[in-house]
Amino acid sequence: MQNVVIKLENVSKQYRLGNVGTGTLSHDLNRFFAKIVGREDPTMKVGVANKLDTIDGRYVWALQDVNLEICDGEVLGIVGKNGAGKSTLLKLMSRVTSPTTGDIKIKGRIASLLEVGTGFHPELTGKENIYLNGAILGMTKKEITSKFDEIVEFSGVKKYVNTPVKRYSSGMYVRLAFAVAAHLEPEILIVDEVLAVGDAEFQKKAIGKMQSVSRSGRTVLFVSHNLTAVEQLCTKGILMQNGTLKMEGKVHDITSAYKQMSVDENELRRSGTRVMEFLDYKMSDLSGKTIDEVFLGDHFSVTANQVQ
Amino acid sequence: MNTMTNQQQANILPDEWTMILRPKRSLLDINLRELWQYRDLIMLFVKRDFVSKFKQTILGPLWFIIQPLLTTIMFTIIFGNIAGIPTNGIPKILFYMTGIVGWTYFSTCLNETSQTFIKNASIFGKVYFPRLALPISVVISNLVSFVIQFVFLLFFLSYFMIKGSNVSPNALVLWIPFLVLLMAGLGLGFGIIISSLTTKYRDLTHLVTFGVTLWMYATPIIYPLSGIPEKYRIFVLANPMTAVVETFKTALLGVGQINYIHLLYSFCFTIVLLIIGVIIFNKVEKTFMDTV
Repeated sequence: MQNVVIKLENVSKQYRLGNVGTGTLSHDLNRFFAKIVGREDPTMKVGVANKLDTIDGRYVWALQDVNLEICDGEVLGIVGKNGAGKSTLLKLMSRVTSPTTGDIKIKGRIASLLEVGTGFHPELTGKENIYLNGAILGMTKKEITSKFDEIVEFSGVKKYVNTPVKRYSSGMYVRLAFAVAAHLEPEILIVDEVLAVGDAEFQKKAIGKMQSVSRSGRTVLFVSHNLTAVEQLCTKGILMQNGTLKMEGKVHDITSAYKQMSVDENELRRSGTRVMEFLDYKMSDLSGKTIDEVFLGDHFSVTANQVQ
Repeated sequence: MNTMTNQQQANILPDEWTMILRPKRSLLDINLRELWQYRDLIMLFVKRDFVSKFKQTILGPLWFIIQPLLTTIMFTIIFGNIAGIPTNGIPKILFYMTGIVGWTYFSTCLNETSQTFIKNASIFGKVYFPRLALPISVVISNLVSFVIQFVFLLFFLSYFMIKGSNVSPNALVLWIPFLVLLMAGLGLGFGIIISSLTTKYRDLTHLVTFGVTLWMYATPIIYPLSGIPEKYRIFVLANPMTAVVETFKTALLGVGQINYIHLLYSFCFTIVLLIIGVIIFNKVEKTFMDTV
């Protein structure tokens, strides 16, 4: 029986929509007094439905009753459409915010990479930012010093390490930020779509680094829209939809289900007068091979079956 | 072999979790151990504050001295010479400077910590570290500037003493570290309360700078405590900073009123304030990212 390192029990997260209160103390007090005295709410918008609840008290459940167990050494891919609750899930696990209901039990040190360059200060040099960013992510000064050369080597900014980062190009900035995070050594690593930045060479390097991290036995949680990367790196996957954990299983099952989901949605959106109706279609390149992506400038052909 | 290890693993209580994240949290929980674990981060924040203040400036750290010096000169001219407020026989410049150096530490702590959540919302939203680390780093970096100003003040003091003024620093200077702690506590306490409130009500930040300036006038900085008529003195004494500043001045200049009861009042005020601050902070901390 494997060691469970993260356990989510009935975790839900609720967010309030709209402005919380009116945004200013004076207006909120005004509204409070009016409520006591029995007068009409002075801050209410004209012509909108009256209940205070519907204007400023709307709630949305970003996550609902998520139950999940993640074992030691697993590389979990989390996929889902935008708004499915993936980042919220990661934020909860990273302690950035706390769940509305439920418990999250964790065994081991967690380090999250929700954004590259968290805490980078433009006036500080690359070296100073490495220390600052590393400390924010949870490393001690000693750890950073021992890994300093590796980090600089990985990022490729050795010449510029003593220049303020405000003068770096965006590529250098991202490489440096990722290099620091890549050398964290937590038991559990959480990564949120950060591989989406950077050029192709950087992406290759980043994925390579993530692979070596996962091979060293660490637990990794990885959110991405890049399904190829997910299939390459992950052993297990979960599919999030509208705040619930829709499916859990082997990576390829999850990615197929996700692709299927997008297709299904598209099918539902068909509309028209049905003068001509197609059953299916196929895109192929000039050699006849079926493709689903075409690059700018390429030649392709489309074959479609019409309803008789 | 493997099955035996798995068996052993199953026998170790699987519920020995490092951390359990729950919706609520006990109100008075500070988790000092975690703050200690993040001490490197706190010091790096202090370093970051310093470096970013003075990069690409000409005068650099000299600004720590220039600001109080300019304020002192202005006070001397306006309150000392033009308004003619008495200073109990102490050379005017010295009188005002002592008050200012004492007050500046408190006011900068308060002003800067009250902005914590808003100014750093971007970092807080992306990574976890104990939120108290930032206000604490503010208190520490201001402490460094206080020390610089204090040394500068001592130079002034010795200059006047050599010239023969009747200033007499006395054993009360031993109280100064305690006074500094009180100021840090008051600044931190008020700062985290205001910071917690500003996550919801942004306009409080405008009130803070204004309020701090007003507060300065309610503290015996421009005037000696003895200059206040008896019937109004109770109001000035209700201000916890009064006893602190007055003791500070008396310690360094030898003239003023000390009352240990008043100091005790300031001390208790600070403790209560810190407790309330921590409670409010804890309540807000877990979910402020949803509304800030």
